[in-house]
Amino acid sequence: MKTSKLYSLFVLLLAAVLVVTACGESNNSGGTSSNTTPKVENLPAALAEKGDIKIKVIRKIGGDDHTAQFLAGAKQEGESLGFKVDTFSANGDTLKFHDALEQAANEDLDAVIVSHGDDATTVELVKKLREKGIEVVAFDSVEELEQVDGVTSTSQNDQSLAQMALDHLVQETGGEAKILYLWVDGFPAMVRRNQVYQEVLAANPGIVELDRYGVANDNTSVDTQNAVATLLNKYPEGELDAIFATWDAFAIGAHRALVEAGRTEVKIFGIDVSNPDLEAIQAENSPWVSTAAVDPKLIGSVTVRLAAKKLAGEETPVTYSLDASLIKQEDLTSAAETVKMDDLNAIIPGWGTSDAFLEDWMKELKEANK
Amino acid sequence: MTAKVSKKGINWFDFLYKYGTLITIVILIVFFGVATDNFLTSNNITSILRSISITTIIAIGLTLSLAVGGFDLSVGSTASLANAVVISMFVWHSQNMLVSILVVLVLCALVGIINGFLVTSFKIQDMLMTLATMFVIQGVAQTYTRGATISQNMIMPSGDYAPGSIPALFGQLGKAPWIIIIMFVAVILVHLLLTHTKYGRYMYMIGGNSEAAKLSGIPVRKYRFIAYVLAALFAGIGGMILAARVMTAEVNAGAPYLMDAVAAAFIGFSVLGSGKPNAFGTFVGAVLIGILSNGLIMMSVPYFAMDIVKGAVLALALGITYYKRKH
Repeated sequence: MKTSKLYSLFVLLLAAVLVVTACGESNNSGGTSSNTTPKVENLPAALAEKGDIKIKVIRKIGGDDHTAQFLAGAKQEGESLGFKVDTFSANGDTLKFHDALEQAANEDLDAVIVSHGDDATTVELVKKLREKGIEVVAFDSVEELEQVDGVTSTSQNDQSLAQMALDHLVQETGGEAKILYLWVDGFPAMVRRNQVYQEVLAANPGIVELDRYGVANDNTSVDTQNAVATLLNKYPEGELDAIFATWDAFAIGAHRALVEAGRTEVKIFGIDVSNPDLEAIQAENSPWVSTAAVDPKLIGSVTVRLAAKKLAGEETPVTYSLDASLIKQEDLTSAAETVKMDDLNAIIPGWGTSDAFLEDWMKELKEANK
Repeated sequence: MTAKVSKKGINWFDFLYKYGTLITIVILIVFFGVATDNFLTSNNITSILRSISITTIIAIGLTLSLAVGGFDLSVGSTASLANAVVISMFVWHSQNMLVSILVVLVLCALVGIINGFLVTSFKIQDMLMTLATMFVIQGVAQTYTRGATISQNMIMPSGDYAPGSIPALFGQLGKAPWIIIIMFVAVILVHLLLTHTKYGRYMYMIGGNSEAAKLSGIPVRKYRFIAYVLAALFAGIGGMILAARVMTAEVNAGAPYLMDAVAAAFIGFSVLGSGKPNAFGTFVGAVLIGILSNGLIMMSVPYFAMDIVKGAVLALALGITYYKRKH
């Protein structure tokens, strides 16, 4: 009995040694990797001192594909750097979101990524996190967070998102179009998109807004679907040319309503992208002709990189915005196979890749953690 | 003289009580018909019926629980669960339509059995008990979907794409005319059950006075149990129709239907002066809400103002019903 235990221990040790030496051989430049913390030559001292890094991603909205992709991007990037990443979505519940932030202050965390914190309480809670020495990176949150010391606010470049979608609308319709505007007030991103919309309307007198609708709730896409179905009855064929949807939940609802009513002559110009969106755009006779978007997975990655830089004691900007790309239906349908989120980088130049804040030591850390 | 006046007053109330809701609908139709050009087109009438069908089916389930004097608050969550499971059966498990729908119906029956068991076994108000199960079912649905939207070609936790697709035939269930036909079938079936069978009469007796029903030999527990199972089944059907209409399963997709279903069922109390939950009334209630939403969108009224109108109509309907009950 005793000998067999000793024997298995010996085999285990041998296996461990083999694994370690094999790793050492495969990346001589990156240094050897032990099973706990990999050693990287250029690893900033501040980060090395902290030992195991724990990051929590707290997002207010949830349930949609954008959230899933964002959280997956953050988790992937964090884990590739050897961090422990926890993700949480409050599914739109403000109180749950605040509770999660409050709780984070009492946990043994190194950094918190806040997504869609859109009220004053968020600012207070983030201040508390900072007092505890926890690094904070925010995405699509209130501007007041920029005043909090040491916080970086990231956002999708809403200016470019709206501009790209509307430029395409103007170009496709020759600047003469009667449109529906699907937009909802009360979100910082939406307010920024609306500013661009008003500018484009002013610059193109040929573009006329017939009606608008917008609601953000648990049932946005179905409510939009019903509303657009009604509006299609209000504006029969020939009286409506296009729909500008400032959010993909709106575009999805409008898409279903147009297909349902057989009114695919009305074109949708959208913002944001996800797998279900890509499928809708590529469906036969789809009225959804383009969508402007930033890769949600990439947003997740970049926020984690910013957090890592903060933990390493390196300098980070107060704000950073990620540039948008325009995904056109014709680009997707000309591809040989059905395009999914992961294939977009082959079709849209620059999609999903960014070396923003990707420092050399991060690359080495990734290599070491492989 | 005074007697005559008061009698006249009562008659007037009687008339309003019986026909108030229907008159409101007629007035609304005339108003919207005159105010907008395209309200009374066949396309728009289809749109209205399509938009209320899911609410109506779920509200019919709720009506059954109300008929036995209960209140199933969990119908919205059950619809969410059905929506999530039916889509996942197609997308995650590549099952065919028959298997998928059967699995959902069995699951919803199970939900109904749990609800029925809890409300009949404990002396806790139905509304409180089903409030608890509402959270449980909602949590189960969210846990099952991992808090994310299920759609075709979604990314699985393994990093691969979901293998299955949703049959086109299933999608047809969510399109006119089928979605409207299913709604009418549900309304007619439950209407017949409640008004033309002894089971329906027993259910109303239990709802009216469960002590008296018990003393006259009606198996109260059994009927209440069955009412909850039926409520969950109709909620499940509503959830599946929702799935067929949107072809995805969003988080808590069924939850928003709870309040509209409650409103439709309670407006239904006042239809034709029945003063009790009934299938036809529930349908009329849903039509009223549907016409309001549609007409107000046609008139470009912002959505947040629509809730004020919806709530006011509900208050009016309840006012008429309960005024009559007191006097």
